Amino acid sequence: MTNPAPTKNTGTRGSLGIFLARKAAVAFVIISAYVIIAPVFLSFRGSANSYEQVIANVTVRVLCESTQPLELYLTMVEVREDGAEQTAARFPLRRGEPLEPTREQSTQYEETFHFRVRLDLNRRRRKPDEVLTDRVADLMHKRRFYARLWHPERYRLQVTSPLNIKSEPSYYRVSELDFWGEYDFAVTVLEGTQQ
Amino acid sequence: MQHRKRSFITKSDLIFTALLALAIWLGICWHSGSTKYWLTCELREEIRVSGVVRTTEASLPEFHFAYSGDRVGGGSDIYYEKRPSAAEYELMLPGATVHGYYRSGEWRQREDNAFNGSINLSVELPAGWYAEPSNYTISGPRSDADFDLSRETQ
Repeated sequence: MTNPAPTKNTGTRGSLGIFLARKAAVAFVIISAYVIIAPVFLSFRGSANSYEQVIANVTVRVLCESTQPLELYLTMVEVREDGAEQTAARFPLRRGEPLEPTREQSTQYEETFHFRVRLDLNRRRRKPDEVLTDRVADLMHKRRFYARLWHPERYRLQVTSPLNIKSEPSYYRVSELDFWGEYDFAVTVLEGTQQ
Repeated sequence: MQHRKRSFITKSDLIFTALLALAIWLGICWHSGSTKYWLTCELREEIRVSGVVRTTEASLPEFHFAYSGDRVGGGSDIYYEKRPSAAEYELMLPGATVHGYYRSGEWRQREDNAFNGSINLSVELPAGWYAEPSNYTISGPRSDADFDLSRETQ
């Protein structure tokens, strides 16, 4: 059997335009396949479990030096490292109900509320088992998210109002709340301008 | 000159395919990881209801509390000081709730599921018993609710 001397197969190589056209065609096929496959990778349906959490069942007592109920909110505020404040959750305390004076002939009013306070870092979990994509995603992000998101010490529980008020103390740190703690806010309305 | 037929897919195409697929997969990992952790917070008001369930009959029947149509579990939330004819109880009912969640660098409020109405509390009893009053409407943060149980007279 005689083989002719093999000639160098140049194929379509040598032409940059055709080379790029081939790569573009391959890329088109691969990306099209991923458009179909990606939703499978990204379908993290399933339970979202709490990964880290702060939970407290606290009793909040609001004492007001006022003759009528005030518009007050129990607010959880995040204070960032740069000092920027953001409201995480704001609960309207009961308004428009008759209040009992704490003492006879007193202008001071008192209201007691019980709250469950939760702050959770949630982690989406794929059911039933994690796939390699999840693990690589964890490797890429875990430390970053942990460092960026989970800072319970930055959260404060405080009483806010559209009125110009002052509360004493001005806040309690959420991370330092006792589970069955009792916390008092003494609220005074400052005269003059509304905020 | 013999023209050898060139294979449809070249080695260069295979390497390019593998590298591109890997790059896209890593991108998907990055994307899925970036939405994998998030923060939520919740302030839920707990409404404390306490009182006495009593009867003039020989002994109390087995009873459960029900509120707003949902049942408070069979005793786990109930602190009894039980005597044959009376039981003191204390319930913590879930009141209004506000949720916040963290997305793209800021906190947002989700108040659609906040419940701010009043809670209807009643006692579920075995057949042949009835409670007086049949239910309480609870709207304050602290309420007392006493129930008197009796057997229905034929």
